[in-house]
Amino acid sequence: MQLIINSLSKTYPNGVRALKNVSFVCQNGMFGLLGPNGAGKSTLMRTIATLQDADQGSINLDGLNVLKEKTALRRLLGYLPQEFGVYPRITAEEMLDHIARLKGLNDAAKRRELVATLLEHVNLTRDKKKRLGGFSGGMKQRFGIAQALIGEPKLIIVDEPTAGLDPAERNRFYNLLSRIGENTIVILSTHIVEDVSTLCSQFAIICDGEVMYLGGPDAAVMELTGKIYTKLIGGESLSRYKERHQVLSTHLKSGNLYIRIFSETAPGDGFIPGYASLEDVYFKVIGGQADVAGINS
Amino acid sequence: MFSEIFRFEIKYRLRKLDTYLFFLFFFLAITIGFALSPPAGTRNTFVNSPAIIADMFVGCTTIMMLVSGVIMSSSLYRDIEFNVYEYYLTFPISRNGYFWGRFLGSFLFVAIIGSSVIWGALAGPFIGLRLGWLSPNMVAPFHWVNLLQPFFCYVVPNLFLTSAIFFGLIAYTRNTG
Repeated sequence: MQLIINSLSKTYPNGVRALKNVSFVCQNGMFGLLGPNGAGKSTLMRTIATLQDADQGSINLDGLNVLKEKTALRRLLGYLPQEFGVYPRITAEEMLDHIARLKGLNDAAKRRELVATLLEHVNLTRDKKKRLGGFSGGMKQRFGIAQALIGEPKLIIVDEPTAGLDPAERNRFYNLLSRIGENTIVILSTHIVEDVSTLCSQFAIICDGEVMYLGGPDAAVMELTGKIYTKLIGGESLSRYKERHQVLSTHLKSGNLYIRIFSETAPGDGFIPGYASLEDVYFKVIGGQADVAGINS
Repeated sequence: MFSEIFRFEIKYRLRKLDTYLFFLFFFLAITIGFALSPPAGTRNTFVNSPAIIADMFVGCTTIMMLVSGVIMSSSLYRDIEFNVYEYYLTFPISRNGYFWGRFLGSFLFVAIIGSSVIWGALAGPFIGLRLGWLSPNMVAPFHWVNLLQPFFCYVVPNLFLTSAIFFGLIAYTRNTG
């Protein structure tokens, strides 16, 4: 499978340019989307999921024109929105059964089996007879994950899927997703940079509606290796360092303030070399666009 | 597609308490209406004469307009109210299947609640006679046609009209694209 997104643009009626000429290609496997809030990630995902139209550009899934042939795409799609609700009076099992029927699984025995497997995967078997209205935030999220996986989708889009999940559930979900990702395109948007480095073979950093970086996490980190330096600055003024160095981020460790900077050569000034991480890549890329970690304040 | 959405709509409606309360309310109101002795001056007619039945039924449909508003508007608005449309509309459902499945599934219940008047008109004279509120010479012989004709000629068309208006309003004003 191959998803080709070609110069996609979208301007909302209120003048916000949510997408500016976005282009990239996804193959089977997990594709990560990183970016600050309001970067356009959700707009991009909703557009691919046929929920809204773009002003310009095209989306193509293995020859299928996504923006035109919406129903055909929907047959191949599993989508978990960032924010969603449930019908309160229906049980998890009934709702999944309903969705499976809508997705064309007409064989009752197969459908029952599928629903049972999905409930097991997202650890909701015990709660399958409970009405969705009584679900907690984490349970609802897991239900959302289950509904996105119905019908063997070829393209799975998950928008901040681990919000509200505890660490064990998050691991469980990511294991499930990476297993599915072997022969499916999975587009994952997240705030958690670490998730992208562990899960995704390709990723993009989006800021202000533009693709700022596109590549593999390992290669991205490699580019910065040996160019990241760190220092404990304690109570010293941050602005002094900002004037002289390209400050990427600040961290508090045991109450002490550390800063991380990018430098092609050893900066001296008490800095020691640090291990480059994908987070450094992220901050370096969006540093010019956004006030990272309150550095300007 | 249509049949699944229709089926699910029925299932959902059956889970809502107001479905039963509406039915019960109109059933009791009509039952009492037919069980009580009519006011002086109209006592020379049967309490359940075809004309009175038709009058009562038509009167009821004006109040039932509110019921059709509640039921029909919630059938589409539910997806927005509970924020379900964010994923429901990415399922491979057809516009027609969605629209007609929801419409007819809900209208079925408006009609069933509407049919409470038939059962009330049956039960009312019976109870009135039993409790001695009515004398036997006030009750006309029973014929199904006296109940079914006004139901299908007045109640169903009136409710269909108001249901279509309310459903259409929601479909038109809350269209998410």
